Amino acid sequence: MLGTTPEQVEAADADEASPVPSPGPGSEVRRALVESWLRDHGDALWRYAMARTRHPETAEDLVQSTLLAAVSAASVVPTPAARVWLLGVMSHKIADHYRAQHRRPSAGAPHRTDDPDHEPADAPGQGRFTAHGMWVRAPAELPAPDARATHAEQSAALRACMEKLPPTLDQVFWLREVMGVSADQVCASLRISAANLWQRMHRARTALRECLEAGGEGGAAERGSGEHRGGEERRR
Amino acid sequence: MIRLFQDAARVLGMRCDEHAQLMNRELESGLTRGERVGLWVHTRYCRGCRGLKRQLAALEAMAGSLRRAVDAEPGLPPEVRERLAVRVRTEAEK
Repeated sequence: MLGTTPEQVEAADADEASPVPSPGPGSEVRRALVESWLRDHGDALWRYAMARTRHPETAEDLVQSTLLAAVSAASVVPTPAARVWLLGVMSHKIADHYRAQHRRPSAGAPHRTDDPDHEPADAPGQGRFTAHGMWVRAPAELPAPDARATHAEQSAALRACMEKLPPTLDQVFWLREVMGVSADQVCASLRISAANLWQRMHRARTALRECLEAGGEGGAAERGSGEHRGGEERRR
Repeated sequence: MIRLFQDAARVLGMRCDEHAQLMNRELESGLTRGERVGLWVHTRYCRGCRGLKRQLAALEAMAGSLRRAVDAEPGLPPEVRERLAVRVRTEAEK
């Protein structure tokens, strides 16, 4: 069992006045630990970082900062769940990376889904439903699996919509649906309740469905800040 | 058996917005047999919920495609691994 959560790693990172508490492992142990993580989980971390940023230098920085933040905070030798825990740490680093790059324009922007109190469009009486809970407009057909679109095209369409999600939704959808982390592990890693995870996944799916239905142009884009994080790739 | 009918009846009494939330819960934590039966019956005659079910299935399939694409990506390039090893070793010893 790891002694520290990814949030505590973030907190330790943010507190520059008192960097790392001394009761952690000694330098020899830390070195062995970080080397073993790089050897055993480096590929998974790299794939995750590359899939999210599509930029090798950024991915390299993210792997490094993840390993160092993790080793600074780990107080005991990890279990086989280390990979999931490291992915959780990295998901925070990625969220920080995007927050630093793309500050959300205005707190009062409409349809901000990173507001924890925001209800999804499928919530009773909202969006596609009447006040009596009936459909205003039935969901349209999305590109069917194995239809004309290739897997690569489907992946690209989904990725484009995911890049428009608010960080809190994007983070859980990547971990759950793409990296294949179990719900229990995501909850433990992000220190959120099962109900909170369920709500975030529901909101993410709703935003993604709407974005895909609009051909990648609407939905999640309107629901977030209107910024497209894929812009990072285009600018490079 | 009684529980099955109770769950199915409860789900059949739900509105479409509640069915939408139930379909999302099904993907996260699963449903009871009765809830699945109730949902199946409802989607037989409700075009909107049938469309939502299809959308969620398509989304799952797309996520699967993306997962396979990420899994197929190459791992850490050797030169990056070497650079990282030196840097994290140095930092970890501090």
